[in-house]
Amino acid sequence: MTSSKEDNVFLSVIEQHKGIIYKIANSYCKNTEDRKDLIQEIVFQLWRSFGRYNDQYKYSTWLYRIALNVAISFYRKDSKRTDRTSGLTADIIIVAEEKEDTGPQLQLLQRFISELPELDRAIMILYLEEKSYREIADILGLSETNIATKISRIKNKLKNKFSTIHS
Amino acid sequence: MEDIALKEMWANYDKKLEKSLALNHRLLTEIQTQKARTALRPLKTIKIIAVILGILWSLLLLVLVCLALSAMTYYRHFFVISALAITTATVTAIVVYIRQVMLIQQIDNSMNVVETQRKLASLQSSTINIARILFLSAPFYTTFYINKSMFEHGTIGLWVLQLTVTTVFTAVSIWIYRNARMENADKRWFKFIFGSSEWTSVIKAMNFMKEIDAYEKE
Repeated sequence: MTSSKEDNVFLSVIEQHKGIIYKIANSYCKNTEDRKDLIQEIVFQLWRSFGRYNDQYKYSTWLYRIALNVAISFYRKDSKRTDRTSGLTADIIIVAEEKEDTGPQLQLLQRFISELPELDRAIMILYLEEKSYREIADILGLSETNIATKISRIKNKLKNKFSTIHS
Repeated sequence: MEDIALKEMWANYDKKLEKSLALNHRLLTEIQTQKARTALRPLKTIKIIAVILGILWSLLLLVLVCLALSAMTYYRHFFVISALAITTATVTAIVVYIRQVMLIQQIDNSMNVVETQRKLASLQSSTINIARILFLSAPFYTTFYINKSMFEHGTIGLWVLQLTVTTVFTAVSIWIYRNARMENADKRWFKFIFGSSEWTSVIKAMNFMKEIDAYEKE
């Protein structure tokens, strides 16, 4: 692939999957400044890895793996971050309305997801993104049975949290 | 709250995001020109610098040991043994650092999440092994300067102080070597010694490795 063609394909992949990148970053990072940094790091790592993209996988599988790996590693760093990963100060993904009109139920779901341990959080995001057990297993490197057990456990945990709030 | 309701909620979120998100193309183009920047590059650079400094330090100690051996007297045993012990600890730490640099080379974010995170977590948690090894060399920093003049002119007070300091350093370093382990990460003394932000991420990595292990066993 020539360099400019590669650039354009990359831009269109990011354009198509910007929602996924935003949702993953939002699930692992609530602080706006850190989230901006995380999105930059995800996009940068995607670009860095793009030349080695293995077409036996779907773009989405490749993208989920990188985005989740970067987000989990980023989350593990100290929360009081003072170092910035780059000198870029603007947002790569711009949200039109700063206050997303998400509704109380979705806000609760987002809160409950962000309270889950890192791997459970990844499983739940992929499940809600309607990925098959096989694809989730492939992205995370776990068995399908393991994924099925985990999903059922996490769903129960979320349902309990919702019912506690509602009661 | 049923499955369908959760998925519907998420799908609505998706629709809203679809309308409200836009890409900053200027910034994306800027990122595409930064191929050399990587998150692990600073870490790799620090470790390579540590390896070089460690090698220089070990070479210096070995040269001094050779000089001491060339005009060996009974009193120089303290210096020779201490310097060799410190060199052994430094070389062991260098080997761990070199392994870490090799591990950094193998890390690829496009591999599956568990495999990549296991490598990253083991990279961070092995940092604690370097600290344990280096702590073990601490008592020898209290003995290398013992010389003929101390034996000939040293007072009892000086020797009591020397013995106390060396004993305390020995006891503390052996204790830290034996106890600075993942299972003690939540103890107060551990947090006191390894409480800085760099160590916080190491501790998180160690806990995360436990989580990965538990995941795979299920």
